[in-house]
Amino acid sequence: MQPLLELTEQDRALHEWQIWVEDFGEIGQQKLKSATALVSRCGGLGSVVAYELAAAGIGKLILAHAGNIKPSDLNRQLLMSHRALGTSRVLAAQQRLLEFKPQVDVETVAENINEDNAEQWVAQADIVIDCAPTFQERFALNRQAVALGKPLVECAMYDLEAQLTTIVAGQTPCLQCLYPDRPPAWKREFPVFGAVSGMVGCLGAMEAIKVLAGFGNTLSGKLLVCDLRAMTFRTMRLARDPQCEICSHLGSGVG
Amino acid sequence: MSGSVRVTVIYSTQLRAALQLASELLNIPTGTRLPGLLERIHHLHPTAMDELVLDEGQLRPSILLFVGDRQYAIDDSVELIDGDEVTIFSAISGG
Repeated sequence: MQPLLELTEQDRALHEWQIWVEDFGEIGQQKLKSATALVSRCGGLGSVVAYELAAAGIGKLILAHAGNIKPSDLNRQLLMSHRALGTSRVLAAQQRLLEFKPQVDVETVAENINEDNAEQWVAQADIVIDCAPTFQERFALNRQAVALGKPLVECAMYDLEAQLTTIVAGQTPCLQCLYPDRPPAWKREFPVFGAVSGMVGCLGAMEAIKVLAGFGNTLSGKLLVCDLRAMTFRTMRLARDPQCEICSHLGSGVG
Repeated sequence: MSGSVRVTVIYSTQLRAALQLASELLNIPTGTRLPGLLERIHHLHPTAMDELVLDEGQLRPSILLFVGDRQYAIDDSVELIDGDEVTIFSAISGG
């Protein structure tokens, strides 16, 4: 592990209120400052993940998302803007993040994660937050996160429901323990409110902060299930698949 | 073995949307396991189950089953008991 970066007086001033969190403190802040997070897609989920990680003082964000902003993005993609319609999503996201927190290093990747580029980007990150809409992207991230031993926070939503889990290679189920094949019923476009994606994005960012700084209890091996129609939250225990083609070679874990 | 037990089945995401139903209470014979429960649900809701949960009668691999807060595989020999909550999750992602 690389030595932790020192905090400046500006770092302390910007993050004073969270440094007061006893089991986080200055060491936690140094860990965040020294960390790089890959956020796969900066749409409804990833916009909020990136925004909260920037707020918390992450050192570097890598944002991967292809394409330009469409009107239908603007019910949930909070780093976009009406003025930027038709322009690059990652560049709009970078601009908003740097207006908010110029101390964060934001690298943009104007393509979606796939089997060809996943290794390159996952290798540069200390943690991956998966906010992608397709299972091809999710499986590519999962494969590389397991291969490279990088923690992976999975954020998902549909309608007023959401699911969240953290994958730690060899210790928890990986994504393909849960879903061995591409789910045939999943459609690229689906009903959702921005308030739902925003909530999941905040939870995913908090999960990433805890994993990076090493405090609190994470969702490793557990699935948080949120139903905002009924306002219920449940935590379920997940099981590894002993036949999983991605992670079964890593032996037994807690999942 | 005779008699029956009552279990609550909780439907999520696309399955809930297709059924327009969040949960239901079912009476099933004592000794019923997960495959038997799915057969019962299929009898009640054949179209949605065929579209989202089953593939030629077999559980799709993208479906997760929980009894209480614990995940089970379809072939795990868990016998459902009175008061159990069985949750059926279908895979979702993001965007």
